[in-house]
Amino acid sequence: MSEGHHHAREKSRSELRTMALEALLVERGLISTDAVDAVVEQFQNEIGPRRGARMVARAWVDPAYRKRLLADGTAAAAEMGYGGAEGERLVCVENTPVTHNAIVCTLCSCYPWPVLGVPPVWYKSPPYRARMVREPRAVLREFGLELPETTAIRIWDSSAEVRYIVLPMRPDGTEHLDEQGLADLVTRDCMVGVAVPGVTEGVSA
Amino acid sequence: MDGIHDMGGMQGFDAVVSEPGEPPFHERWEGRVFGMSLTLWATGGPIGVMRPQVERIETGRYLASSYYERWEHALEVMLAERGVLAPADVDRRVEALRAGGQVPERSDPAMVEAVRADMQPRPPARPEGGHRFAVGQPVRVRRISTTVHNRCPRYVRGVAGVVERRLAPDWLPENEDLGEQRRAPCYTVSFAAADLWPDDGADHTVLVDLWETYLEEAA
Repeated sequence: MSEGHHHAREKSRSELRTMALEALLVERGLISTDAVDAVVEQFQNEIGPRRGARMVARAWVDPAYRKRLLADGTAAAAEMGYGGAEGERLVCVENTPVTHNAIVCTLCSCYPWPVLGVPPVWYKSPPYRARMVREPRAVLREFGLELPETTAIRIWDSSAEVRYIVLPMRPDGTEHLDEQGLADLVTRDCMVGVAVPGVTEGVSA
Repeated sequence: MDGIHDMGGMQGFDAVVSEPGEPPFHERWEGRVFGMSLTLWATGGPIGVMRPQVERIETGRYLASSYYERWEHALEVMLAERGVLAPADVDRRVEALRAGGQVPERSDPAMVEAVRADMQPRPPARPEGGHRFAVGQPVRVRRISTTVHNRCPRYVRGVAGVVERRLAPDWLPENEDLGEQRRAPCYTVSFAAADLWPDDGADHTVLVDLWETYLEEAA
């Protein structure tokens, strides 16, 4: 992967065309390399599911924040300093003992970037996009999540400009944990709704 | 358009496979395509909405391409359409890079500021109302057929649902593709799986966000 070893491996078509685009756009003054660096660095180090996890943990310990989060996800994210592209209309949907929510984008791969980062490959994959709306129980089972037959399943297809995040239920036996400890239990998959905290925790980031 | 991108409810796909510890970008170029696109959007650069271009990728190629391969292709097409870069310019540059050429560096603090601002909370634009349908009202999705970009999934067309929530009016996707700008009210519409796929025996609910122009009163 090192930039310095030009003959170490053959570059792919997309890699070469991307480099060509960057070179041409830089020369035409339409982009700067440091602006592109800034975006990549932010999404590699700052903008990711830890942000959403902090919001969930706060909602678990602070009933007033929970209420604000469910009433206006965009404002509740902005309170924590999170917002921007693909998070302008954020809606938080809440799991309860009788209802389980999950999110999908069947038409492309819409995802709440400012609070979850860029989506994982499986979220963007045809199997997830095609099947999640039609056979969610089967898909959830592939993630190791078996829900009771009596649980109502609600699948949110992000087909317009709203981006969704799931507020999972706080697991039992976590009374001793502080906000940070609780946030550590909340994985990306819990906020997409293909996992619940404490059950498939640790299977994927 | 009724393209391959509109995948909701299609059958014949395999299991969903997740990668533990997946990085945001698997290869450096993926981050560069993403970063270049966000930079151009944040600075009002000569590109438009990406989705219509991604949807026009030939079906076989679409399925064989990765997410960022589609972005790279769409970016090239948008720049070509606006007369910024001809495909031949890119081809020539690829050859120069193969021969050992480098990507030049350029620093622009104002541009860095612009992309950083685009990743910050902004005052929400919340245009008001004009909604025709009420929460709880039964609606049916029109059987629209158009060759231009739209955001009305095939699996809900012709199916009746119930308005779950009114959403702020938003830019009509069709008009973005046609180079116009007009907002229309949006809704979250709730559909029973039993109405979407009556023979499946499924009992879940699917909530789909739809522009008012896709909806009519359910008889």
